Amino acid sequence: MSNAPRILIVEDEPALAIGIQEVLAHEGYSVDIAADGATGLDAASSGNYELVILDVMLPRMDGYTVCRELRQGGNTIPVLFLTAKGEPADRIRGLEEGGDDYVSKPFHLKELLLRVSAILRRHRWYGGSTLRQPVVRFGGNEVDFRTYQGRSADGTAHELTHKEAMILRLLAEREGEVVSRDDILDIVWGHDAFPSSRTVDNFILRLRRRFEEDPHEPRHFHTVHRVGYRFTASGTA
Amino acid sequence: MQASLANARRLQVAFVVLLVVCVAQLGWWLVDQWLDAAEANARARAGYEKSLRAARTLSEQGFPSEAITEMFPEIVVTPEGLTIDAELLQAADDERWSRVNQYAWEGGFFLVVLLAAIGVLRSAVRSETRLRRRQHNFVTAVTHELKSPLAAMRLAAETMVMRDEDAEARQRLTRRLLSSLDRMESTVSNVLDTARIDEDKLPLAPDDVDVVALIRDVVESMANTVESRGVTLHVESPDHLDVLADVHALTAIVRNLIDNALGAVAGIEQGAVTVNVDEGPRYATIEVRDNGRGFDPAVADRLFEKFYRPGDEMRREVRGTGLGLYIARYLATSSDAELTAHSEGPGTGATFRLAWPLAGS
Repeated sequence: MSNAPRILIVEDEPALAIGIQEVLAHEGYSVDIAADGATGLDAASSGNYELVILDVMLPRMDGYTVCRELRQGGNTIPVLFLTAKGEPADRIRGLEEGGDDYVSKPFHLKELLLRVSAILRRHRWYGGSTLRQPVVRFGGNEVDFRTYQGRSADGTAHELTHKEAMILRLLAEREGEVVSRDDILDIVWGHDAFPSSRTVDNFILRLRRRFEEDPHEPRHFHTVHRVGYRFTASGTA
Repeated sequence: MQASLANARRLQVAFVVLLVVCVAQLGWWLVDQWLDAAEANARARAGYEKSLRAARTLSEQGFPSEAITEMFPEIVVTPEGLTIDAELLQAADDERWSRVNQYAWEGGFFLVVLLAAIGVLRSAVRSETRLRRRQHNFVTAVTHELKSPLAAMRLAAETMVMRDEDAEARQRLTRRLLSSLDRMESTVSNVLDTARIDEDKLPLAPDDVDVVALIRDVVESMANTVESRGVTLHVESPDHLDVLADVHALTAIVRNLIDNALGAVAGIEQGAVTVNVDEGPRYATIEVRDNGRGFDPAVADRLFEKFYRPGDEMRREVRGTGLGLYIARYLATSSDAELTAHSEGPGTGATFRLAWPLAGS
C-alpha cells in the first residue's frame, strides 16, 4: 500500500467538508467528498476507500443508516463518525451501528488527524497480519480472517463481527503470550472510544461461546487474572 | 420524546376505556329501566285484574253498575260485561316505553357530550405532542446550526495556526471562517428574536426606509456565504424605493428570506436566488425567488409555523432551525405587511412574496 490512503468524507456542510479535505490532503491523504447519505453509501461501497468520515445528520439518508447498510452488506471499511450529536447515547449508537470511532463537533484538528491515522493503522495492522496468516486453526475450530467466516469443532458455522475477528487476530498473532486488556483496547478500539475494559471481557466471552467446547473451562482463551488474556491454539487447560 | 408519545398512547387508552365504561353503564341503565318498567306494568295489570274479579263478584251479587264503577274507577261497563279500562292498560304500556325512551334520549345526549369532550381533549393532546416533537427537533436543529459553523470556524482557525499558509490560502480560510460566523450570527439572532416575540418584547419603530439600499446591505453582508456555496444572488430593483418600516424588522425579514432561499438551492447545480423589488400603488412588492427544492403548495402556510421543518431531523433535507420564516411572517404581519409563499411543487423552486406599505401610506 504505497499509494496515499484514500478517504471519503460524507458531510453536507461545504465549509467543513472542504476544510477537512484540504487538511487531510496536506497530510498526504487522497480525499473525496459526498454531500449526502445516499451518495456517501454508494461511494463507500465502491471499495475505493480505506476510511469513511461520516456525519450523522445528512440529507437523503442519515449516517447511522449508511453505516448499518455498509455492515449489512459485509463491508468492513473503517467508519469514523464526525457529528454535532455528541451525547454519550449518540456515541454508543454510532459504535453499535458498526462505527470504529466517534468525534463530536466542534473538534480539535490535531485530535481528528490522530484518530484518522490511528484507525488506518489499526486497519492496516489487521490487513497485514491477515495477509501473513489468513486462516487460524485451533482445536478443530477454524477462522478465515479475510471473510470473517468461522467453523467450530462441532461443525457450526459462525460469522464473526469485525471486532471479534480483530481480537482473535491479535491474540492469535501473539499466541502463547499474555495480552493485556489495555493492549486489546488500544489496538482493536483505539483508547477512548469505549469507556471500560469490561467490553473486552464481553467480547472474549462471545469468542468462548463460539469456539470453546465448554466456555466455563476454556482451553484456548485463557484469563490471566488482573492482566488480560492468553490464547493457545493447541488447547491447554 | 418517547415519553410524550407513550403518554399520548396512554391517554388514548384511557379515553377508550372511559367511553366503553360509559356505554356499558348506559346500556345497563336502559335494560334496568326496561325490566323495572315491565315489573311495574305487571304489578298494575295484576291490580286491575284483582279489581275486575272483585267488581264481577259484586255485580253477580246484584250491585248496580254505577256503584261498582264508582268504587273501581279502572273498571268500565261494556255491552259484553265488566272489563278493565283499555286506556289505562294502554297508559301502563306507554309508561314503560316512555321511561326507556327518556333514558335513551338522556343517555344519547350524554354520550354525544362525552364524545365531544373527548374529541376536544384528544386534539389538544395531539397538538401538544406535535409541538413537543417540533421543540425536540428544534433543539437538535439549533445544536446542529451552532455546532457545525463552530466546527468549521475552529477548523479554519486551527489550519491557519498549524500551517504557514500563503496569502491566498489565508484569504480563503478567512472567508470561510467569516461565512460560518455569519451563519452563527443569524442563528443566534433568530433564537433571540423568537424569545423576544414570545415575551412580546419586540417593539417596532416604523420610519421611512429605502428598501433597495437595505436589501443591498443584506446581500453584501451575505457575500461570503454566497461565494463559498457557489450560488448566484441577484437583485433587480429601482434605484431606490421608500417604505414605512422598522429597519431592524425589515432587515431580519429580508435576511431570513434570502437565507431560506440559499438553503433551498443548497446542493443544486447552478443554484440561483433573485430578489425583485417593484413599486405598486400602495405597496412595494419584494419577491425572493429561487430555483431550489420548492415545496408542496398544500404546506405553503405551515412553512411559517414556529419550529416547522420539513422531514425528519436525522435526515436534514434543509438547513436551519425552523424559526426564520416564523419570525419573518410575524414581523411582516406586525408591520401591516403581507408575506406569502408560492411553489408549483417539490423541485420547481419557490417564491416568497412580501407586500409592504409604501412610505407616506
